[in-house]
Amino acid sequence: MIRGSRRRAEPDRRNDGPSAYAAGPATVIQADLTIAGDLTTDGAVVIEGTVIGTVNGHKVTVRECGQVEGMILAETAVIEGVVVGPIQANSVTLYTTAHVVGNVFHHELTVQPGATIEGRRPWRPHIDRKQIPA
Amino acid sequence: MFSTGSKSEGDAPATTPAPAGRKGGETSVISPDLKITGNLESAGDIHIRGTVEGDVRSRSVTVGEGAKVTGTIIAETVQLSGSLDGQVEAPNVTVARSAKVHGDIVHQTLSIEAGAHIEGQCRRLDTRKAAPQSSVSPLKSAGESTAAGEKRAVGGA
Repeated sequence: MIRGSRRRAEPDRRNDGPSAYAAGPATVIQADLTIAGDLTTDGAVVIEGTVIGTVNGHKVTVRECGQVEGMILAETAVIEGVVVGPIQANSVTLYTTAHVVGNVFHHELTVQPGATIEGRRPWRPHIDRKQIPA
Repeated sequence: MFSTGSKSEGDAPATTPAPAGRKGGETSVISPDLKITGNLESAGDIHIRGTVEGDVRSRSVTVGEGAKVTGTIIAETVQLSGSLDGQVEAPNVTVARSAKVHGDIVHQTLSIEAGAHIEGQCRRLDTRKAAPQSSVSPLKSAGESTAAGEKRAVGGA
């Protein structure tokens, strides 16, 4: 467990994907930006604003002020904000402030106390985000 | 276990919603490997380095080198260095030499660097002229249609 290592409450902030994606800054959707449409990337996305649509990325982070109304497909999904829609990711971490309305398909799931899930949490042996129809 | 206490203070500024009239707000970045199919709307700045298929409405929009936008850009300041297929509507437009624009540029101040590729009209954004024109034409057609209607009525009688 994480006991003793005292995991930082604030998760990694910016470009924290694999070094292969470190070519430029990760995509950041700021609080004042609203996207009505789908996002697709092989890198990392940090959402502090609003996305109404599907988000498909290697690492998808929804910050506390962020909101996604749609599906999240990722290798790693880090949720601190609101997600209205299903999440499909190998590794899913829901922080205290997370609120998910939808099913959380996962291989590894971490839920901090306080996070709320209105939906089921089905386990899957493997989730390939590229093979899930958006 | 997890530290269940409140989050570190570093998160506080991010959680407060951005005030509309703030100065030099943070910039949303669309990285090169990202593709957005849909519209973007922001009160702040957007830096596009990836692909956007849709309209972009923001205070300031930068289309970086290698970026591709298909749609209309409406902003206060637009800086184009990438490729754009669509119209630009902004008081301040700057087109860099690496830019490729297929579409009209509606501006008040336009700056084009030598080498820029532009296919389209460059018009001045004039709110005084544009407004009456748009309001006059429907009136005119409405008048014509009523006149025609009268004529028809007279002919029938």
